[in-house]
Amino acid sequence: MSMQMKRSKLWVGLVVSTMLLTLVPVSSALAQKEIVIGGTLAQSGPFQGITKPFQKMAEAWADRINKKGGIYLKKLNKKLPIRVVIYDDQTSPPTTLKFYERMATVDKVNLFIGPFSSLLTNAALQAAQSHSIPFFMVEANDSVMFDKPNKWRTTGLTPAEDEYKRIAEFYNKKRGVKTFALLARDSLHEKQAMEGLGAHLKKAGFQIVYQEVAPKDAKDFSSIILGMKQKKPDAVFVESLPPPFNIGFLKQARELGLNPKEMIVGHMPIPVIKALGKSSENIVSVIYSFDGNTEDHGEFASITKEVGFEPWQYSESGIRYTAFKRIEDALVRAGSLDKEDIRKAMWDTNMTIWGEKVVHDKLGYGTIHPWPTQIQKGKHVSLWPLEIGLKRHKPKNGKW
Amino acid sequence: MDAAILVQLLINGILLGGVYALAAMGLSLIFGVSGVLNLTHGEFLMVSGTVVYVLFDWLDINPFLLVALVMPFFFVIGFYFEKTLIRPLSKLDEHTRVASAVLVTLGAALIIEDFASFFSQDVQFEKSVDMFLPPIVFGTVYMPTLKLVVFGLVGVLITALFMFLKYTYLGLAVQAVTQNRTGALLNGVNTNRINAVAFGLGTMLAASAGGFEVIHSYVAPNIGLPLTLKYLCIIVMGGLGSFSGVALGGMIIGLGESVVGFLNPAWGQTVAYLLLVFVLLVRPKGLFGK
Repeated sequence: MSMQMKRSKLWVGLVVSTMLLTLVPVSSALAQKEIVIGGTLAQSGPFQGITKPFQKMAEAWADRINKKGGIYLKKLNKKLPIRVVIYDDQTSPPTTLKFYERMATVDKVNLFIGPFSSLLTNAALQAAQSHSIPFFMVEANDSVMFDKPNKWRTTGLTPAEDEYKRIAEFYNKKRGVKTFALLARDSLHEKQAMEGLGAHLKKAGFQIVYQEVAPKDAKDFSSIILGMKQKKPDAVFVESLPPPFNIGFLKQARELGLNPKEMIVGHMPIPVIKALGKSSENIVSVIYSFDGNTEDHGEFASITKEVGFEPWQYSESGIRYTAFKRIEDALVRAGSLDKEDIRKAMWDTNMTIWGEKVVHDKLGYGTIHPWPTQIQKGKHVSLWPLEIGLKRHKPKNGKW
Repeated sequence: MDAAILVQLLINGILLGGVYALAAMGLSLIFGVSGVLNLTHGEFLMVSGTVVYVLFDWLDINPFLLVALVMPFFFVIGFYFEKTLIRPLSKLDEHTRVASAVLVTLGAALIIEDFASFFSQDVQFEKSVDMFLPPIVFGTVYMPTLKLVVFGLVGVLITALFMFLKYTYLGLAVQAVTQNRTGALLNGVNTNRINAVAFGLGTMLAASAGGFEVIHSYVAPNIGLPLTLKYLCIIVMGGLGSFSGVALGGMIIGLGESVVGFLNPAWGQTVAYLLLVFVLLVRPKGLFGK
């Protein structure tokens, strides 16, 4: 065999090998029989009371899609069913990261869905970055995660500073209060949310007469309550994700005669309502859903009914629902399981959920923020749309 | 700071300090008699609060009655806790025994916390009984009635403990073992039994504090160890083995948290540890230590 023939055979071999190598990912994608979405949820630890039914919600959502044959991926020209992998992160950042690493390496997920809270999401994001897996952050919007460049993450939420924008809007329309006292638990999310509300209130012409941050594990609030009483605010706002902070503050406020016209509690889950009993009546709060009659409202109500709870019982369940819709939309538009395609599709969102436009800014923040509610007869009652809420709202007027 | 605010801060601090003193007294009793630093103390408090909550949710009867009902059970739990986990360590030399007891009680505390967390999955993580008594108002000063009732009951329990220690044979035996274990043994006191009784009594006091905690505040599976550390601060500050010191230590911490917390909430929690350091610098054996 001549030298020339040997060389040309070598070239052919190289070209064929290269072609085969490039075909491997395509054929493995074609061979993939399901879309695997992985995440963690706090099934134990302090956040368990907030996220308890979310795993069943994810499974109910996946079942609905799978009953229709799955999600159609255009580039593969076929529908693939969804499989959701969920682990218990025990409300612990190290455990959260451990499970996201496991999902990247053992479960081989196609995309991540975030855990509850910025605290746990911040830990989990490291896995998205190191394994280049698209990550949809659900209940996470603290700036600490957006300060670090990470092209794999996006969220549906607005920045924490805008979380209570609608509370300011509501009182701006409602009127009757002029001065506010604000209290937040000493953690990044709560502080940012409180400072943001303060800024929105000031912008709307309200006066902040007291603003304080209390230690994370504070149990005695008597000195803070005294400080507030001195300033005689019309409205008091308290922000803490874990319920004990709110339970402690509200019970002591009731005992020490802090009787503002309006009491606003950022997170008012069942343990807080139960701990206060009738005294929780007419406390204003927020949840991530509102009364409406769009197709999304119907589907969300149907999922929560199937899982066995009412949306107000788990105020963040609405964010979970929007996350599912966002992921579904991104997968359809990506048309493949290529991680880069999915990532791009997640960033290029332009859709409507619950009748509201959902897009991203250049940092990756979304447009969703919660809607005001009020505790009436032991339940959250939606105060949105605004015109309905203004009629439904009942002043607390210092009555416990 | 005007006078009304100061009075309010003092009231809040004293009421807070009362519950601290009650739970810390149980820890001090156990330490004084057996020489064991019982790190499960806060866990028993948490478990008792949880039991009171569950019973209240189920039976809907006065939670103070429930506290009285659960206390004897916790005496038995404490008694057998000592018998099964602490007594086997008594054969070790003193140094090893102290270190082993810390590790055993720490291990038990972590296990109890994990179990409580696991079983909370079907109830709820934070538990708080809804009970409200309208405050008594003097001008601008508010007396939180519920805390006042708790404080009164704390007083009753502490008095009962003092009476028990002073006027009963068992109580005198407990005191004898605290003062001189070998001497008590030579006089025919069953020191092993007294150790178990002290654990039972101490655990019962923690249980009552847990019941009060769930009524006026909340309990959750993760509150045990931080509370034990705070009670430890109180007994070291008061002087190891001194009940009067514990009562005073509890009040000082309560008042410190109340006043400092008013001036700057961020320092309200830290003040217990700063006060401890200060007291130990001035009186290394604590306020009433001998």
